[in-house]
Amino acid sequence: MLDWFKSGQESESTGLQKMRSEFGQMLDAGRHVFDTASNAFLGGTDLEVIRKDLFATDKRINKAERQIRRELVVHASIHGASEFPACLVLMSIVKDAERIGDYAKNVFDLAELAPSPPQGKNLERLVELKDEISQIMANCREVFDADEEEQAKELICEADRVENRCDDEVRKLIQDGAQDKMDTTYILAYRYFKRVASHVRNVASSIVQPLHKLDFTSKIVKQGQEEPKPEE
Amino acid sequence: MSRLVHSRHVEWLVRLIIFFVALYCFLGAIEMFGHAMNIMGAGAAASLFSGLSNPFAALAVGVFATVMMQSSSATTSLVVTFVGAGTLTVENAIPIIMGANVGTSITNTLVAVGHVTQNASFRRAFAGATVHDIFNILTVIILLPLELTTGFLQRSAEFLQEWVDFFVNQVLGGGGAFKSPIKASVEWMPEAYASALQNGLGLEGKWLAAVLIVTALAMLIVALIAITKNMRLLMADKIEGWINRVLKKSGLLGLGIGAGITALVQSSSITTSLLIPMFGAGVLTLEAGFPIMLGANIGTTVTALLAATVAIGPAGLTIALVHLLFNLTGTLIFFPFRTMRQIPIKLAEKLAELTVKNRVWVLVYILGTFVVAPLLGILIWRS
Repeated sequence: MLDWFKSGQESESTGLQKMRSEFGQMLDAGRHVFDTASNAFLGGTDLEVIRKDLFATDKRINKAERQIRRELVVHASIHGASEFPACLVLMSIVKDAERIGDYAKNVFDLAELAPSPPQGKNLERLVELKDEISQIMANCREVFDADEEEQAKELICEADRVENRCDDEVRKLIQDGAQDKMDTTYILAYRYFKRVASHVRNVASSIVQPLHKLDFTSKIVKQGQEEPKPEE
Repeated sequence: MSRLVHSRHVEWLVRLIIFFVALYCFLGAIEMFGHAMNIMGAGAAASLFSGLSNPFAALAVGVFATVMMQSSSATTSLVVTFVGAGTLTVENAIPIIMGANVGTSITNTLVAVGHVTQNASFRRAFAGATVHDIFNILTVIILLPLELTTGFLQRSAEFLQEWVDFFVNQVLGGGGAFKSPIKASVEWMPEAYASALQNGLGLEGKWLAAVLIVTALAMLIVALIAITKNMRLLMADKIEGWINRVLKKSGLLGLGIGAGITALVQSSSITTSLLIPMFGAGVLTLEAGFPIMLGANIGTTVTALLAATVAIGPAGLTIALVHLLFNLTGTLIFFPFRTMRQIPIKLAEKLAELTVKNRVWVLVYILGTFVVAPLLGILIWRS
C-alpha cells in the first residue's frame, strides 16, 4: 500500500519533474529548428526539404508551451502556494523556449527572402555565431537538467558575449552605410541570432536568479568579466 | 539525495499513520454518537428531530447543517448514526441527505468568489462552481417529489440493504449473524470514555449523553479534517496526474476520476474546489469539469457507507445507500445525454454572465441559496 502511495509522489512522469522534462524537449526542439533554419539561410540546405520539418517542429514547440502552461495551472491548483515560485519560473522560461522557435522561423524567412546566400566576411561571422549559439543551447539543456549554478553563470556570460558581437556587427553595417538588400538581410540575421542567444540566457538565468530578477543578468555578466582569467 | 528520499518516505509513512488514526477516530466518533443515543433513550433522542417529517424543513436542515460544518461527510455520517440508532426514520432522513448534497457545494462557490477581480476568469470560475450547485438543486427538484410520491429511493435502498445483509451473514457470518469487526474494534472507545465520565465527574443520563455528543461531534470534525488534509497531501501528485488526463476530455473517465479522488480524500468539497482555479484559468472547460463534479458526488457517499459499518442498526446502511442511489440517479438523469448535460451547464453559464454584469447577484445567489432559503425551511420546522 505504501508503494502505491509512493508511486504517486513526484517522479519523472508527474508534477514539476514531468514539466521540466517537457521543457527540456522544447529546448532540444528549439535548437533543432535554429540549426535547420540557420543552415538553410547560410546556404547549406535545400529550403523545400526542410520547410515541412521546421514548421512541424515549431508547431510541436508551441503545443508543448500550451501543454506546460495547462499543467502548471493544475499543479499550482493542487499543490498550492509552496509551488508557486517554481511554477512562475517555468511559466516565464517556457515563453523563452517558444520564442526561440519563432526567431528560428524568422531566420528561415530570411533564407527565402534574401536575394542571394550570405557571402564573404558576414558569412564567416554568421556561421561562427550560429555554431556558438547552437553550442550554448546544447549546454543550456545540460545545465538546466543538472541545475548547475556555476555553469549557468558561465553560460549567461557566453550568451552575453554573443549578443554583444551581434550588436557590434549591426553597428558596423549601419556605420558603413548599409543600403542594399543584403545588408538589410545581414542586419536582421544578426538581430535574430542575438534574440535567440538572449532567450537562451533568460532560461539560464532561471537557474541562478531569484524569481523577480529573471532575465536580468547584468550583475552576473559584470562579475564574470571581473573574474581573473586563469593562467595559460 | 538519498537523505531527501528517506525523509520523504518517513513523511509518507507518518501521513499514512495519521490517516489511519484519523479514520479510526472517525469510526469511534460514530460509535460514540450511537452510544449517546442509547443513553438518551429512543424517545428523548427522537424528540430532537420532531418536526423533520416536513420534507422541506428536513431539506433545509441538511443544507444549513452542511453549510455550518462545511462538510457534507459530517452531516451524512451523523444522519447515518441517527438513523442507525433509530432516532430518525429513513423517510425523514432522505431530504436531509439531499440537503447535504446541496449544502456542500457552497465551498467551491466561495472559492470561485476569489476570482471576482477579473471578469473573464470570474465568469469561468463561477460557472464552474455553480454547475455543481445547479446540478444538485435540479436533482433535488426532480427526485424529492418523486421520492415523496413513490418512495423509490428508500425501497431500492432497503432492497439493496437486505441483499448486503444476506451476503454478509451468509458469506462472512457463515449463516449466522455477522458482527462487523470494524464496529467491534471501536466499541471500547465510547464505553471507556463514558465510564471515565461517570466515575470521574459523576455524569449520568442526559448530561452524560450531551457530553458524549459534543465530544463525538468534535472528534468527527477533527478526524474528517485530518483525513482530508493528509490524503490531499499524500495523493497530490496522483490527483495531478489524473486531472491532467481529463483536462480536454469529458466523459466516464472524468466521472471515475472525480469519484476516485473524492473517495480517497473523503471530501467532495476538496475535489470540486481544486477544480475552480483550473476553471478560472480556462484550462478546464465546463464540459470536461462537469463529470468530475458528478463523480465527486458519488465518491463522497463512501463516507456515509463507512459510517454505516459501525452504525447500530441496518437502517444506517439503508440511508447510506439512499445517499449513493440519489447521486447515481442524478448522474443518470444529467450525464449520459448531451441535451440533459447542457441544462446545468447552460444555467451555470447564464448565472455567471449575470454575476459578471452585476456583482450583487453573487451575494443574492449565495445568501439566498445557502442561508435564507434553508433558514426559512428551518423556521417552518420550528413553527
